[in-house]
Amino acid sequence: MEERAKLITETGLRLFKERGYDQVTVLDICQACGMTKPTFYKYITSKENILVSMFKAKEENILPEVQKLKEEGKLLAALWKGLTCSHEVALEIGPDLMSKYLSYLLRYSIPSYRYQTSLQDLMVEILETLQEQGEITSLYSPKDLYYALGHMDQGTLLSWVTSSGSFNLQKGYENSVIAILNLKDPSKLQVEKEELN
Amino acid sequence: MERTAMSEKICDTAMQLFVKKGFYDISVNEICKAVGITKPTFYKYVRTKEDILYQYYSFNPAKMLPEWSSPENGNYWKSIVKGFSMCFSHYISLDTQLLSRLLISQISNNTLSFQSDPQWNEKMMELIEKAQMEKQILSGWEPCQILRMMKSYALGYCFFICTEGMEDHKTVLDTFTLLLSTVAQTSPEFM
Repeated sequence: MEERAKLITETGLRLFKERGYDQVTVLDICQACGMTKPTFYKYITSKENILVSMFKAKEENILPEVQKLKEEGKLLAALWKGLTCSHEVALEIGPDLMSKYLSYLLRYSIPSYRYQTSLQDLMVEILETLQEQGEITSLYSPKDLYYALGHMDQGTLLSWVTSSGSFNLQKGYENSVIAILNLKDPSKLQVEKEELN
Repeated sequence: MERTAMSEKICDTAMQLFVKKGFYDISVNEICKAVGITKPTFYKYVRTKEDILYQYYSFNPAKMLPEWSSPENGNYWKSIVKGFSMCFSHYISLDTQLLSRLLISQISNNTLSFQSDPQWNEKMMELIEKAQMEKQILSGWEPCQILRMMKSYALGYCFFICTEGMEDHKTVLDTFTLLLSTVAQTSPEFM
């Protein structure tokens, strides 16, 4: 991300957290950054876009990251990484701002990075291999599993924001992944997951 | 006019307008005009436009319980699917813009749930436990966890339909059921 855009994003996020999203105007962010409104709009198209750009940045990098883990033979880590692309930002911004972001996606019907993309192809391939290796014992097709896991992630995020983050997002989703895939050895996922951090 | 009759009339008229012209483009004034009432009268029955959506989407699950909760030929999974599908079909019965709007307002007031009716949940849990005992559901997780996961999945699927658009209702419903069975690990012979 460019310097200026980064400054806007970071300042915006700080103000959102301090005062609450709805209380912060574009002008507030401009003043805090020491820039004019026209300069702001050269980098970011709207207030919502501050949140959107944070997720975009992650989504743009996800494909090579998953690819790399796959090539290293860390298939479960690759799977986890690809499924939970938005968790990192969600945890960073917190449930309140996350609910604004999810509402934004709904309001403007923004399709997910997950489906009908190269990421989907790669993830389905990974699921297929894990199934052949016997790590995944669910007999459903890799594509169905991918969609079920995707919807589960979105649903878990929704429950997480509307319960104001009352449960551990990553742990909650991990259980669902284990359940859907019927993993032969769930501890393997935990080990590979730990190595990611 | 009787209280419930009037609020029903307002809701029905408003929903028709929403479907025809879109939720955001219909003002309270237009609804009043179509019903033939004044704004103060409107606000006597309805607080906000969103309330109309709530009212439409909230149906009485207790009334519908007998329709799905007694399993035929001991197939508990079928009953579970029916219970979920009835809610889901209702959500997708109108256009996705209205469902999106409903989700947005439920997100903002933290009331979002696929189905929060206690009776519905209790009955579901009972059916899941029986389906597990009969090896119709192969997942070994606790019934309450399976139910929670199925509801999370269902909510995520509603979100998906809102953002990606919807094919025909039948395809959407078939996919919904198929993926629901991946969550519970349904045995193929009972699907």
